[in-house]
Amino acid sequence: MILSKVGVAFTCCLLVAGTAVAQPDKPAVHFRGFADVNFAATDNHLSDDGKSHDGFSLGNLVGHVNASLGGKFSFFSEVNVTGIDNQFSIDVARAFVRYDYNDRLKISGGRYHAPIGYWNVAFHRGLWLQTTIFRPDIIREEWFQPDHFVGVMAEGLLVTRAGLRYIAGYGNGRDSDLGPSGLDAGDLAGQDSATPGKVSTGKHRAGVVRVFARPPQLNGVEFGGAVYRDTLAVAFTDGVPELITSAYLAITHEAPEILAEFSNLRHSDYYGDGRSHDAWNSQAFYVQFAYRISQHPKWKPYARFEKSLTPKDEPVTGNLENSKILAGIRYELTDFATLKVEYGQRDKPGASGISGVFAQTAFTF
Amino acid sequence: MFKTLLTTTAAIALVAGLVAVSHAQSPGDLAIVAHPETPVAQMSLAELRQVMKGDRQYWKPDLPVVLFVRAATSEERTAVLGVIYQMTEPQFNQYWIAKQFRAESTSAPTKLNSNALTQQFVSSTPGAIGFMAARDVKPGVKILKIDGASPGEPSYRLHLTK
Repeated sequence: MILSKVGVAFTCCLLVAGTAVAQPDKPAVHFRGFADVNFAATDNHLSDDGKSHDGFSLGNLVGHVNASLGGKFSFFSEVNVTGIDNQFSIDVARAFVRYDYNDRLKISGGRYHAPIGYWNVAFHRGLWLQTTIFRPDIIREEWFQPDHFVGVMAEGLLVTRAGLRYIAGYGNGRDSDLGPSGLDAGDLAGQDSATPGKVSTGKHRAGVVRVFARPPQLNGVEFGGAVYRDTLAVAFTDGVPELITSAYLAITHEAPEILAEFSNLRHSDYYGDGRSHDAWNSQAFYVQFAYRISQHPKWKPYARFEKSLTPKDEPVTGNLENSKILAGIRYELTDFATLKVEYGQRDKPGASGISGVFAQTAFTF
Repeated sequence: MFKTLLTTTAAIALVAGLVAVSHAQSPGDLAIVAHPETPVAQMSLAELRQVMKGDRQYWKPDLPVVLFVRAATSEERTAVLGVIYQMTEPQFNQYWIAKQFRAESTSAPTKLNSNALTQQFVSSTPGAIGFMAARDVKPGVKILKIDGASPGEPSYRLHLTK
């Protein structure tokens, strides 16, 4: 009931705001694309993610469109085509409409990159934008953090002089496959009580709040944190509360570039008997360092270490323990195309490690 | 005594004159210019950086910032990239591509090929802000003070680079 009243009020505000300003003849549309082509050679011949095979592959073909609709409204969208073993999947990664009242308040509705950390919002699948070939596993695998968020958001500046900003969102909870746990989208979407076995996405909601700073006095520095709250509709439970807390630091000078994120994933009360002392905390983090060589500015070597830790009896995700180290170099073919070569090694407790050499050409157009 | 006083006075006058000439509106200064009705007369360098990087997009709710930049290879753009953005040309391009990708901006700043065009567009576009050589500024735009100083003053920090 409360949500429907909020939705009506939101819609009315948009309608009033839209009629108060002169309308353009047509929207101003801007398009940009990103794509990457990859090569992998690993010791287990299953590429880095253990799913696709070694050899050449089309990674992502991303079409990004934004449009000024007039009257302080704008539209953003992103469609991804991802290739795995000569097959392709299409995903509407983002599509949302936004109204900018001023720098302190911008409200929007649609589908977004989940604003839980830095990397997912800054780079997502625009691989030309990121220094390395692969995204950190904490981002790449949705078992730790949701990749997308569907709902409404408010964002803006809190303290202008400090560059302190906020993002607050309310929307649908997780509906993605948690991979190692064996839970699939149907498990997370919840069961329709009227029709046993039928899943419903209307069973649970999630909220996220992110606060971060880009101090103008420290050019190229950004830091912040987020809290994400959800109730996973896991089969045969009354719902498993999920709490993700994260923090990050990003120094994007390029000489050096330092990125670091930490995230804690907490599940509690899995047995639904109110035993609040039952909680499982999993942690994941990565630290990445890169340095653009001033005498040879086309070259940018980098390295990253990432690790995730999980209780062995984690009931929702299963054992996520993993560590990975990689090192590589990025070479700018042009201002809009780059070549990356990388060595990576992954170690999973109780399983044999995977190591390999990877190459990628990523570009924007 | 008189000769000493006369010589000293002449020397002081000569030095003062040289200082005045060197500190007159130097052709080597970069002026930050805005539309005359923009509700700001001075900014700190940090505040200017926020505006130029698109982190501040509204002067007030009904007046968005309209950012104009000089095209690449101009000495004005070189100065701005060095002092305000602290980026190279490729980094500047990537910065605005990333800004749009993150949905923080719908477009990159408009590029202008000359100071004359900067004068024309800034003077005629409400909310506009841009930069140009101080020597080329004509009536019709507002020159902003940066950190309390105007172009030509000793403490002014924005200079054209050669």
